[in-house]
Amino acid sequence: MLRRLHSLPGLLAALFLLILATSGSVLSLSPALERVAATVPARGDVSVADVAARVLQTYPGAEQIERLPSGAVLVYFSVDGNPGADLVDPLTGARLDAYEPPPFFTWMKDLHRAFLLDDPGRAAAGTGAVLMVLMCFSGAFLLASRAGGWRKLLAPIRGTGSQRLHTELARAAVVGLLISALSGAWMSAIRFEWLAEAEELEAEFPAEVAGTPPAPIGTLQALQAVDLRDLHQLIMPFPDDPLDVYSLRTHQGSGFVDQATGQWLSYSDYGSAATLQTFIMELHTGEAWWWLGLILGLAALTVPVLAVTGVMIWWQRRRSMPRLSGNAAASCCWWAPKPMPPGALRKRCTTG
Amino acid sequence: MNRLMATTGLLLGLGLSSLAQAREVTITTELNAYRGDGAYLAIYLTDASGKYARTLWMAGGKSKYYKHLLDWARGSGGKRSEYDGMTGASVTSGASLTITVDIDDTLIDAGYLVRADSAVEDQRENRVDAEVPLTTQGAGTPVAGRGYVKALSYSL
Repeated sequence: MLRRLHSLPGLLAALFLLILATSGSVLSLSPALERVAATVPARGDVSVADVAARVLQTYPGAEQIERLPSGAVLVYFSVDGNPGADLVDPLTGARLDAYEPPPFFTWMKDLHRAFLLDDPGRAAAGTGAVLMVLMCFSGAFLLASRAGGWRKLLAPIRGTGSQRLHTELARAAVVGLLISALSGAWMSAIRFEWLAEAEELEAEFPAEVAGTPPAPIGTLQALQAVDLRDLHQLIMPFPDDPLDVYSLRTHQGSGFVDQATGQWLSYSDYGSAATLQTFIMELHTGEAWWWLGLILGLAALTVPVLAVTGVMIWWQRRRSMPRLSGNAAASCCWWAPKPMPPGALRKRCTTG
Repeated sequence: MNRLMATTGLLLGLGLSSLAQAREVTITTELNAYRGDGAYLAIYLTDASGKYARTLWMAGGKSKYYKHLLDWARGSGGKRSEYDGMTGASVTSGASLTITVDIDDTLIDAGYLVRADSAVEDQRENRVDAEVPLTTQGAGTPVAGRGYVKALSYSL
């Protein structure tokens, strides 16, 4: 029974899981690659006000400054009405490179979460994640029963080549696979509104602003108090609009800052539910910790091997099942416990 | 005969006067070809000073992302009652969105502007991507946008 619980969904989903896992492990490289290219100052070294002041020197028309989860700092600007986006060094404000979401990863992301098929594909990917959870659990129970108990889970594994490869790889990867599959299934459930999504609490839009001439951005207290590591996004006020405000989103909350006084006009934490939710998503994407992303990616890389060896094991077992020629169902035996009317017997057991 | 003329005239007059109160305006937002998912758009009216007046259309399936249409969100307070029944799918790269809305006649040629904010996942958010004055003369003349919007136009 347990074995069937493992092999049936496995056979059904092998191809799906293969695509999901392979694309997932490719995607896991993205946060690490971004991290390599980024300058990441230590906490306490650089404030949002520092970065903004440096960036504005290089980009007087900067519209928006963002810190990607990888640590890279990004500035959006317009030159003669043409929008642009550059990666910048947070220590100098100097341009590093033009920023464009890499098309390869964008495509891979679409493949991973929707099989390039929008909502039906998203549903399939979500189902794949649920099946993966099932595979992890049934596999773990199977291994425990094979090894002779949960305590012997780490004991050496016996068996044929493909069996050993399958079991040893799975045992090494199961925790990583579970993290990816559970968080993926959870994200899909939220996407399709099977689970209620925790909404981020938002700051009130300020009704009144100082309206006096703006102060230099580097002197704004509210921006000085936020470490660059906590920055998510800073949207600049429109130039020449004294009634406009800075809109600031950090990892903890969001609000609006007066461009003259440099004080918060309003601020709100996202709330613990929304923060936890973001954390689970970033755990899945590897944005929370790039190194964990790589480990999860490595674990996912076992799935193609597990799928192939799994199908091989299933096939070998099927072939080695004893095949009896001219076998009849138990109910046809003459010593069947329940006597049947002679007609019925003749009808069901004429095997030629 | 006179009576018939009078009735016809009266009916016509009534018809015209009711037409004169609110006019059907067709607004077309054409997007550039960009790389990325469908764009979320807020199409809304502001008065001459840029103050939010009313929402005309929200393009994008998930209302939780509407806060990224920043100027619209700031003006409208992001309240559901502002856009209830005026939502649709996001607009994909290179596609265009055509909506037809009833706009009070008093708002035409009165300094009001049709404005579009836009946002795309993992990419830039554009406050006031495109903006066009709502005038009888300006009808049919497309205005270029700064972000994802290639052209914003309307016909009265």
